[in-house]
Amino acid sequence: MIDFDLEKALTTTYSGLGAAFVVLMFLILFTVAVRLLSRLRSQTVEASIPTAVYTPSTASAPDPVPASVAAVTELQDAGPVMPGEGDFAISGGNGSEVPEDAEPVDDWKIYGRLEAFSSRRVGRRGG
Amino acid sequence: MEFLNESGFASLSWGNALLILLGVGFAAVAIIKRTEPYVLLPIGLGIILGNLPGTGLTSFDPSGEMQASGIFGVIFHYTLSFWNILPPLIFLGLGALTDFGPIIANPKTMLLGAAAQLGIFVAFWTALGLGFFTSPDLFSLKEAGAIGIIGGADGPTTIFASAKLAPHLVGVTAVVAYSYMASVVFVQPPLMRLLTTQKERQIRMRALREVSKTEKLVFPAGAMIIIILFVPESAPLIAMFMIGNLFGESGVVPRLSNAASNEILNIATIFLMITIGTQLSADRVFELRTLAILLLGVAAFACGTIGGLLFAKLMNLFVKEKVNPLIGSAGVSAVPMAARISHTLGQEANPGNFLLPHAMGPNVAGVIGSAVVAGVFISILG
Repeated sequence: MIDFDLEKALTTTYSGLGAAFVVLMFLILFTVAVRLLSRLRSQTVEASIPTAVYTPSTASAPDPVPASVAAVTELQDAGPVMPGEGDFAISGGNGSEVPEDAEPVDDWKIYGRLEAFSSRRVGRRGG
Repeated sequence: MEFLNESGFASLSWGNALLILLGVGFAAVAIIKRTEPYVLLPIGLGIILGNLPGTGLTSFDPSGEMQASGIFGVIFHYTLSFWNILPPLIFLGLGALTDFGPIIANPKTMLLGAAAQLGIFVAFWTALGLGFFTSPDLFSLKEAGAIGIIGGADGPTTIFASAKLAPHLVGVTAVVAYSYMASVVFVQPPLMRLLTTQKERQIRMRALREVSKTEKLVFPAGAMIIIILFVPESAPLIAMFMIGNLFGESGVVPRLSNAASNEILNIATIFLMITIGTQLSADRVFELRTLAILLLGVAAFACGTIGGLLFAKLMNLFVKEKVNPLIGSAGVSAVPMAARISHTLGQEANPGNFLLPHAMGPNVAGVIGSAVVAGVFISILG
């Protein structure tokens, strides 16, 4: 004879396992939403870059872009803005694209840094 | 002769002697092998102290009579069974040490942290079912809940839930949880090899993307609100974990972050671990229930590992970019040992594999998952 409140035990099981999945699913949705918003924001910033880039070079007047704006829009990452090899290479993106013929970087080189980071940060947790 | 009769030797039972040897063993493993020294050394010393008769170190007088309570009795009463504040303080420090980057970069791995909670429910039901074969009142619902949480493989969560649901079991459940966490290197690899094929273990996962600072700031704040709204009883653990993390990620309060991850974590660890050790006295340990908890603990760990592995394989049926199922076992928490085991086995199968950052995702999600389940257990059974 099992002597316990079966209904309560079942409720605990459904609720516990259900809560773990539902909460983590919500966190996934939240993470994805934050990423999308963040991308949208960076696209908006990128769209505003050409204006900011060309303003100083078209006149001899003092630079109208304050230093704080320059820091936000990361002008130095805007890619080539000067005429390059016969074209006006504005579409350089943010300079992070890797050419197709580029030498692939081994994963371990990237992760080597991460491992050192992770083991340092969580090295003595025991949790 | 009278002196000897009044000394501790006269009251020393064989059970005390055996547990003192166990305490010495824990301390020796910590010092010589350097295995989980921050846990095993203070717990080992606590076990030794808790089994020296006549000291009164663990006694507590609720009437408040002056000098009637021992230091560890007072610490246990006020910081665990009465207020239960030490586990949340540990979570504050752990939060400051945690990097949410891997789960933000690959959020689907959070589901593995949920699947690995399977062990909790297997242990919970097995504890209840054991009454069918032995004594009907072997474990009550609350005690079964406290035992089940061992399967979350998270020490502070186990202590937090046990102290709420079954304070008399907290010493045993905590020692069992930490002992198995220290021995995941023996429990997990055979199951991981058994349940995955060589081809699956060789799966290489794409490098994780860089996570922006904004994401690292928004995630803990949003997660804290979402989780606490769903399971308010998990608030003491989750709130402290996320606050600690925000201290670290914000970069504007380095002193607070350092205090949380060093001074506060260390002080809480000292008091918590020694006090937990002192609760492992002979009169509590040498009974059928303790043996059952030991067996249930290992079953919970094994089932949590299996749950994570099988869910990773299930995920691979639906996702375009395959995950290496080895990272599923890291969902049992046991941070960061479980993630390191996934990484090591991945490299055994394919030396070019670097699974550590990928396994940290389910590992951290497992911490959140077990705190959520503990919150549900406390709200329903507590």
